Amino acid sequence: MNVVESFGLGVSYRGNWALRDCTLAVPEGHIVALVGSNGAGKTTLLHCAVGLATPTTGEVTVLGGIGAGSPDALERVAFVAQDAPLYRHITVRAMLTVAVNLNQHFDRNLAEARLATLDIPLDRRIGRLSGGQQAQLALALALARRPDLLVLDEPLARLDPLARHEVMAVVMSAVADEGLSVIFSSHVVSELERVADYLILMSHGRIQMVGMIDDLLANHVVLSGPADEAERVAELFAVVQSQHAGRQTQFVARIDAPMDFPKDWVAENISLDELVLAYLREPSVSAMSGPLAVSANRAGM
Amino acid sequence: MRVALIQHRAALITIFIAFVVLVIAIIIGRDAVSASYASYLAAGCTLAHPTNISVCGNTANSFADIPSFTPLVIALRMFPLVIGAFVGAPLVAREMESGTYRFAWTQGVGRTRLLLVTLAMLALIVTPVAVVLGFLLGGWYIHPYAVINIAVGSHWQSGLFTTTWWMTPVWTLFALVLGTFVGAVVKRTVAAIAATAVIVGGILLAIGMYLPRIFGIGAVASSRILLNGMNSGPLNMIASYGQGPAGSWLVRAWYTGPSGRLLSIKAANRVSVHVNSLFESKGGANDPHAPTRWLALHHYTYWVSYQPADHFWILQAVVGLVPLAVAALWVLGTVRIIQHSRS
Repeated sequence: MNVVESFGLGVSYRGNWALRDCTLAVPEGHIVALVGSNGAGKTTLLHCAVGLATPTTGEVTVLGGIGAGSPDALERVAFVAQDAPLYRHITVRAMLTVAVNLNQHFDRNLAEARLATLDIPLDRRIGRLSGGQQAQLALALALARRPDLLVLDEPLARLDPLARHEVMAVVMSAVADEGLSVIFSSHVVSELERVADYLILMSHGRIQMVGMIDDLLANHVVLSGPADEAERVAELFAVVQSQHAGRQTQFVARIDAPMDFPKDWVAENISLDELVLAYLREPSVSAMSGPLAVSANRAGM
Repeated sequence: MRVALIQHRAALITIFIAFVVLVIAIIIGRDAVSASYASYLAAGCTLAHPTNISVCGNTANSFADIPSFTPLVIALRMFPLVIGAFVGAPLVAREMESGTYRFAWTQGVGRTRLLLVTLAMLALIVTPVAVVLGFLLGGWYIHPYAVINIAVGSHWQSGLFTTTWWMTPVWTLFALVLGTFVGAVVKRTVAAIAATAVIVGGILLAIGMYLPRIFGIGAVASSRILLNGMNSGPLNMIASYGQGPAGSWLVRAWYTGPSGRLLSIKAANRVSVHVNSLFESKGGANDPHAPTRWLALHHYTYWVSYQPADHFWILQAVVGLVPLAVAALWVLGTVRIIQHSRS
């Protein structure tokens, strides 16, 4: 079952396309990192998935074909929006009451247990909680709904490193305990590898790369060699990005199968950081979705 | 219900305080008029027999200490405006402005159901408040005024007509829903409050101004009513002291000529002046039939249209159902807006 599927998805705000031609299928059981630069369309894609945004073109479904934002989807998909918008003027306890009344299957005991573990007082007004505590509260409220899919929009933004760690620890623990699928968007690429096992890379409103992180890393290498051979070598591989420094050239290249590399060229494993940055620096490959697009695009160059 | 109580606690507390203050003001005001009312009743004057001008009229005039009920009527007329601006307008606007809609609209209940249930809950809270206030003011408080001086305390007057136990909740619900709609359109709390106050205030003013025209709908025309002055044009007065059926509201008067056609304003004024002179110079005060005889002799007819007393609640229902129907449209409009609202 795919937890999110989109076909030709596009969202336009007053003529400006925030999202365009997004075709996607995210299988269940993963922690999916949604990465992209500012304005890449991450939030819009997530809002489409939770029913907050209405597609201008195409369609999006969740949890095996349920219309995003439909009553069934709302029961099974929990969403934590960017900056964890909660009612700041009421207490944590009152917020729990609100959540109980807005959801059929809200597990108040679970939420209270999580909040107790995190030392978040129930009688405190939400506006007086720290940013990390508000994020934890929003997460606890979402998890207490016992969703099949948890969608988090920039859950780590504005959090200090310790709070980031704690938030992601809660997410990891919930995934281990409940077996739910998670999609979260983030700018903090360095922490993705530790948490996520599936990656969606977006750029300029389009999906640029999708896949299991291990597969993506295995299928890409950093090639370094003499600059005077760069042109010849570039024709042998699907080059994502090239950098020249003096007599040395460095390629980020995609390889479909184990292969021999040219003499005098060194192939090194690529980190997730390098892979993401390489794609983000090459918006020209964003016209087609998925890593396969790289070879197709490059072949046409 | 609990969600509405938690989320809108401040507004609801404000409403409760306003309610208590109004009730206390009404009770104090009613107490002040009670002594005069008792004296009036002791003089044998009742609402059923208010025609004895010499006794009851003079007795009524002697009550100089009766406080005016106008401030309370104005306060009650403002009640829908306050509800619309401070409860209805922020309902969606605050969610949009603060971003909490991203929480509220992604919960299991769904945005449409959440809006409708919240609106229904708020309606369940404000409606009884409005009914009680309308009943206390329009029924209990005004009654002595209506008995002492029927022309002053008539429930047909626009201020009192729109503050009955039926119209007060109707306009309150209308304002609540309109405020919600405006908030969904504007998406800014303060701007929505201001816009709602202006729109609801304008509508209530317009209703007050156009009520005389509304009273013309379904009015009964009679050629047997003889009014002091025999003026033509809008009347807008209670049929007091025997001038017209008891408890009825006189809407309009006009003259028709020998051919049965409506006289022009100029001609009607000429006739009116002459008829009036009959009252004065030809002993009309002692012979009230002199004007009638003169009109019959010259084939003129004086017509008065009026709303009979038993039309009061029919008109209340009709005038009240229109805003309720419009409010239903506002609800549909708000639902449509939030369903298609994009983040």
